[in-house]
Amino acid sequence: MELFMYGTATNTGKGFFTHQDRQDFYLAGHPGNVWVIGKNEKGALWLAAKNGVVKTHAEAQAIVTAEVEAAQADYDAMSDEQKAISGNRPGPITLPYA
Amino acid sequence: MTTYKEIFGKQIKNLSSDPPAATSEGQMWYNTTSNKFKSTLSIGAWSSGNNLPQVVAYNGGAGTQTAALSIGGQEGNTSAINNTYEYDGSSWSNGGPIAAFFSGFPTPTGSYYFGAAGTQTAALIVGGAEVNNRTIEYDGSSWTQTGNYPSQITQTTMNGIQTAAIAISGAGPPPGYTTTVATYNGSAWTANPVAFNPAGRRMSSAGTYTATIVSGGGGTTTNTSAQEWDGSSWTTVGAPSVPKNDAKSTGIQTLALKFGIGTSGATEQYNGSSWTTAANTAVNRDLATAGSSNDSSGTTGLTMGGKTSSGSPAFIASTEEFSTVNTIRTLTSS
Repeated sequence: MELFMYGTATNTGKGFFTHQDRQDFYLAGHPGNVWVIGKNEKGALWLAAKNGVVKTHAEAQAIVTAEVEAAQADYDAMSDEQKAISGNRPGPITLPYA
Repeated sequence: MTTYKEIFGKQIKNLSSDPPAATSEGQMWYNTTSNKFKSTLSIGAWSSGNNLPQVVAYNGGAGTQTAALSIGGQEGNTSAINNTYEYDGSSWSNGGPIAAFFSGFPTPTGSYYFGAAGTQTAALIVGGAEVNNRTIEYDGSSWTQTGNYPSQITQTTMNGIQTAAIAISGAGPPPGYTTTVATYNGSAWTANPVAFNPAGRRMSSAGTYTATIVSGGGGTTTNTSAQEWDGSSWTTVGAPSVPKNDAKSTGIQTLALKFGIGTSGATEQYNGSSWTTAANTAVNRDLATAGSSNDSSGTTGLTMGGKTSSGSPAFIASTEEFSTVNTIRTLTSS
């Protein structure tokens, strides 16, 4: 049984996810407006209600990876002084798959 | 077999309908209508708050979940911002600008990494990424410079109010990390003869200037311990589960909430003696990159902005609010 589903949705602020939503299903936001959602009825209904677009794991991972690679390119273009201020180079993000 | 009555001294009540969740925390009963055992649990979780007017990380935070400040910060890897934003629990509005106190005005270069404390209408910040000894107070509309901190400082952690605040450790100019503990009375700072060890920066703390819980942070190594301040001395207490360098805290010494821990949105609660794991934020705000409120209880909190992972693929504008809600649950044997 798959534990997660994936989608993109824009966080509109208050009410986008509620205290009750957090009780009803797993939810984790990632760069590129990608959301990993616990795969149950309430999770699916939440994504639909937020006008989200369902993605496969591979599609969602590709969006996140593109965001990370763009940030890495921005980081690599900075001066050493700017890098010292900014902190670490962006690292890869691997979406859970199960 | 041991019975419930033998353990607790009384039987489970039979009720034809559930009692109000708001007034039944911790109670257990048998619902004779649904034929289910039930109980009311107090459950803490993060929900989305309204987004900040712009993306920001390393912003200072003050006030509470329903009356907060987001102060300065970075909007990109190299640019700081001038803005103070005020939150009323539902929407953000512009507050007084801070840039005049930092180099590069009107485009400041170091207006982030402050120590921050106080309320939405009486806040103060100390130091910044542009390492300095300035103390700047906010009155709800504008910022005014007051008595200098004893040394140049950045990334110190602060608690208290505008007229009774404490700043703990941080980093100064090279060689860097400090053990200084200093208190502020509304006009001047006094360095306390009792230092905080180990020296470090970016610690998370909650409480008042005489009753504080401090954990995490670090200098050359991560501070894995937690320590309580009683106004005159430090006592080592139970260590957090995740001894990360960077996090934020809100609440009081006996009921604190620590969040932004590590890279998973982890959250912990402190009850005055030990730490327990609480619900994660939905969006990871890595390594204390988000501002936070200073609520008077560890059952509420606000985290605002931040970066979703170290090095930042994304500065974000989103916010999350922690709240604790009584919820009736049906008990099952699984």
